[in-house]
Amino acid sequence: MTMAAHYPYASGELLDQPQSYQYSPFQGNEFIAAWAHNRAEALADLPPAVTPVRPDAPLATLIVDTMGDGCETLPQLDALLAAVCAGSFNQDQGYALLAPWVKRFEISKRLHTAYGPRLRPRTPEAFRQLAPYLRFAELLEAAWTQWPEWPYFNALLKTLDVLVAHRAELTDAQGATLAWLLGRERAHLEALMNDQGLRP
Amino acid sequence: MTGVVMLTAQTARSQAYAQVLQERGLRLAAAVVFGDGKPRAGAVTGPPLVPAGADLGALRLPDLSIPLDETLAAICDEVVRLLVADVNDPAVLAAVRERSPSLLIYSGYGSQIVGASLLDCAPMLHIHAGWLPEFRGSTTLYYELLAHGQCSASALLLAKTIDTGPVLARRHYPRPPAGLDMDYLYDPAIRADLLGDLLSDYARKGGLPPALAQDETSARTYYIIHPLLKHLAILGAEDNR
Repeated sequence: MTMAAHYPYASGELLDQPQSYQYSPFQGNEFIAAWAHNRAEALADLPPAVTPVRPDAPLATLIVDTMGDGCETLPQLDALLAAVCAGSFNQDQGYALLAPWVKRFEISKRLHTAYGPRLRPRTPEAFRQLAPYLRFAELLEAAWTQWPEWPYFNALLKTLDVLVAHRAELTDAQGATLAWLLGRERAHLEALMNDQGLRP
Repeated sequence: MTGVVMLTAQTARSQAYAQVLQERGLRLAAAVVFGDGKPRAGAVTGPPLVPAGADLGALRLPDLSIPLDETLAAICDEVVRLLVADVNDPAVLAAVRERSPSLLIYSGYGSQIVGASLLDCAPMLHIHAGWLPEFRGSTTLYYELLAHGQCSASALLLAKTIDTGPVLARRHYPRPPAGLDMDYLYDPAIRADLLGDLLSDYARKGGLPPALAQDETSARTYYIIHPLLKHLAILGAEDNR
């Protein structure tokens, strides 16, 4: 399939050479088709989608103040996801807790396995495990579903670019979760296009 | 305007600012121009797109074919050029301090953050392309277009944290015309429009309007927009005219 537009944002060694997304060129309607083609190619490489099992609600009590305390990333993202899914926050509370994670990811396009206070990575090189990126994408998707905060969807798109680029490194179970997330991404995009008066 | 100094880099925004000031008959005490002459990410590589018959009302698009240096020479008593890449280079600080400004106008590279030493020299006026405090951060022109179908500019005095300083003025602007380049024409044009009005008042009244602290409860910070959302913002604007 040939297209005039090109979607270059989800390929290569993105963990080592992150995308900056600066001054991205406008490519017209065909860019959306190029993005859709990229995702379709990824889905063809992945196992069938499986809805991920959500963390249990009591995990919500384990949320830390990331400004003052350190944390292990995956358990902390589990706790936040549990809380979002349980409806434990209102929109502003949710934003206050999620915004530091969004900022951390947006600055470096990486998630480390553990952080010290103020979300400073404990080990600079410990960003190559893909499980945190998958959980972060789940969290962003759940948050966007609840609250229309554009930073969540923006970070979700970028996190999925990283996961699509590195999909060959996923386990089968992780690949099934990514396939589910890509389905949710598409559904959200179609809803947005309807809102903007555009045809999907 | 005595004591008013522009701290500027070679960008489309700087060209827009300088041209609007020239159009309104405003003069500056000095411009300090920094930059290492190397192409920056997002530099204009060809004529930006201006659709035929675009209706912009009173908004003036910058003419990017006019070199910044030429306009600055026409509106400034003095132009200082520094071959340094970073706004926080000691040479920039020295040049600004030497001129003892009463007001600084900032038009640097979007990716750089002005340091505390420069902020301490004089009040530094910046025009942000977004309604503050709801749209802080990067590429907010597009996010606001997605969220509300309109664009905005906010004039503020720079503070140590991004987009948190006291706000002097805010203005909404309509959706841009279909096909108009937003990064290099529309965004600089709306910023320059608000700047021109603010400085015209400053010249007439001898001071800035009262600055208002931002309401932190409604503040949201945005990061560089993903290209897919950028396309939605532009295509939605085109389809909804």
